[in-house]
Amino acid sequence: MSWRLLTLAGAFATALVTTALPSAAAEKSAVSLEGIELAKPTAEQAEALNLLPESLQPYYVGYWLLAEIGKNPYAGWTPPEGPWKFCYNDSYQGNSWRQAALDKYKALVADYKEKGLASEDLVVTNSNNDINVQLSQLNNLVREGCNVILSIPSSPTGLCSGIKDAHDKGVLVVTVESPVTCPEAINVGFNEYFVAAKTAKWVADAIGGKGNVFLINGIPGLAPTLARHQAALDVLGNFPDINVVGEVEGQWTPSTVKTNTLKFLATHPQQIDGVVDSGLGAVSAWQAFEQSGRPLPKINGFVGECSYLAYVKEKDIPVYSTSQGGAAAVWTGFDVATRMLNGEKPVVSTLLMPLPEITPENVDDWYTPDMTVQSSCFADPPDGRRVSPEFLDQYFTKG
Amino acid sequence: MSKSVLVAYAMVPLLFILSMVMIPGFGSWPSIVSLLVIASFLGIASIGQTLTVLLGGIDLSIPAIIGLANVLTVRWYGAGIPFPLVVLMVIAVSMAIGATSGILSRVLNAHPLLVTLAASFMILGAVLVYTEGQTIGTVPDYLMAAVSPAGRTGPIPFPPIVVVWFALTLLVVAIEQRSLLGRYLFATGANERSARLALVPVTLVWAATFAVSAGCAAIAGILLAGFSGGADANVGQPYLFQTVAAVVVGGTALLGGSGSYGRTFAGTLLITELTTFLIGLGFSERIQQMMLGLLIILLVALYGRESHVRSQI
Repeated sequence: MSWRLLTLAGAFATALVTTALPSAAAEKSAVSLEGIELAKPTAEQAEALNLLPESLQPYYVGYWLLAEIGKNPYAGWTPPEGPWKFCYNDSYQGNSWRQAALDKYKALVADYKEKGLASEDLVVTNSNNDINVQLSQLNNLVREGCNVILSIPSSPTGLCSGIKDAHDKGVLVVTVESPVTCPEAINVGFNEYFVAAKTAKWVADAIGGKGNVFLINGIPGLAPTLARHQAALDVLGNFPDINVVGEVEGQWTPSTVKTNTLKFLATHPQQIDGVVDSGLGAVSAWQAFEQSGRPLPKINGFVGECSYLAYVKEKDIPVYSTSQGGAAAVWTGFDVATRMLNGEKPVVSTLLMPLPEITPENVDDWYTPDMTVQSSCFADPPDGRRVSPEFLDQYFTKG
Repeated sequence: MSKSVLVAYAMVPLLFILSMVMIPGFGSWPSIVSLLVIASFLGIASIGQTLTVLLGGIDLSIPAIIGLANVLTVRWYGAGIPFPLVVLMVIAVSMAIGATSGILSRVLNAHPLLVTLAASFMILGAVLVYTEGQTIGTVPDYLMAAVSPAGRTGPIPFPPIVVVWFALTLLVVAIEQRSLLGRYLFATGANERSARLALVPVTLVWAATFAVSAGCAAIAGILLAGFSGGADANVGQPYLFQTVAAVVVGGTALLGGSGSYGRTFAGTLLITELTTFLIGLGFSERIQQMMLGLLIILLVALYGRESHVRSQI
């Protein structure tokens, strides 16, 4: 069977690369959090961390603000024989992030189909953020014989009955980018807290560790908003000369960021040196400064919007952004699923990763001249991946 | 009647002076222009809400029309259609949708609350289907300059959006007070049955009013495209409650027949001032909303003592 051969070849190639590169620490980090006091785990949380190899534990700091870690629920699972049926239980498709993710997943499955590893094209459902609809769609996908279901749940608890049922029937459910609390799911995403801490640390360093800073927050009440907000405050608390002068509710919506930043600037005449943005707000915030006749502060990027790169290029100002594009996100979920189909076992139920970083050194690998401040795209990593295959190896034991 | 007009108008300078005293920088020129720009979006979007409320209805489709206009503007201009034509097309599409909502409300005798709510879902759904979730496209630089607080309109030291808002305000108030449509509007809002008996073309008045409402929402959506530099189908979301709040705070009765856009103008300024004042004091969005709620209750207590025009005659 050709897929076995291919898998073997893949494993061989991976082994070659792994030996060629000295260690998995090849994940080069631009902004270091060394010496920074961050959130401390309770005894119970520390115990859960010990399920992980030591090399991964730093990447899980603050995980409890967004996810739970448990043992691999598929430890006793026998992967089905290929070719497999891949399915997508999406909750919304109305923005370019979701569209990029869908397109990537479709392309990955089409590629698998060509190689004889997928039985058919990707099967897609979309619940338009209605969790009950999403649950019934999930149940239908299980009934239709999907082997692998990637899901972006619109609630951390609402799909649990369906996920348990899928697990009991031997169907692999992997959530992408929004971890659920159900113990039967495999969750793949990035560590919101860790990544936000890095962005805040960059802003703090960029303004020389002193000055006035404000935060731009996400949609109130959501776990990522809370985790990113807490991370920013924790990091900035390490700098006694940095003064957090306020917070702006941006809701990850450029027009809202701009409105509220203008209002903020109208009532805060003091010099603002830095802004910690929790996503999609940097360019709008800069425009608000510009249009209020104020000097531009240092602002991080978070998602890695093309508009952010275009703006920093145009203004020739310092750049630092993490990259959280949809295509790379879904590829990581797909990678985890296919590794599990090939017998690899994740060490825990929730795989939290760092995000690639866009820095002055590598920005030219990310930026393309067709990007403008009005672009709605996200800059994809040069190799399309969030983390290297060798880095991902650390999350698995070979079956 | 004239007393309650004074309430909103008196509060605008009072709150401004209080803010200036309590918050350094509030009274500076860039701050004032920023506030006027932000108020302009709300003000333009609230024109339609005021008129439909005067009619005894309400327009819940304003956020969806704003989103529709926002996405279409960016997309069509990005596709190479000349901008003036894009504006005309977007406003025409929006007005057609608005007119349909107005007519349906009368023909089906359904409350516009339901009709415009249904229209919202259909509009936003259609936008997603049409664009497949891709918000590609671009806006002309002069549109961005037109809504920038740093912009100017020739010799006038305000950006064009503020000038447009002021001009629209004068126009709408003139229509309300001096035109046949204005008289029909108040007559229908005060008592639809007597308006019919007085040979007012009620269905036509509803169609025209909802069309104007959608047209104003479309203008707000087009301007918002310049403000954020990109398209977002959900950009209008804040303008559902805010437009109703601007109408109520201004003192136009939700029962219809009494009020004026001139009042909403003051209500818009007051809301923008209040939220900015609260941001200046460091209050979160939650507290801002609570305070806005308090303001509405306070003002309704002041306004609410007047009985409906129908029972005053």
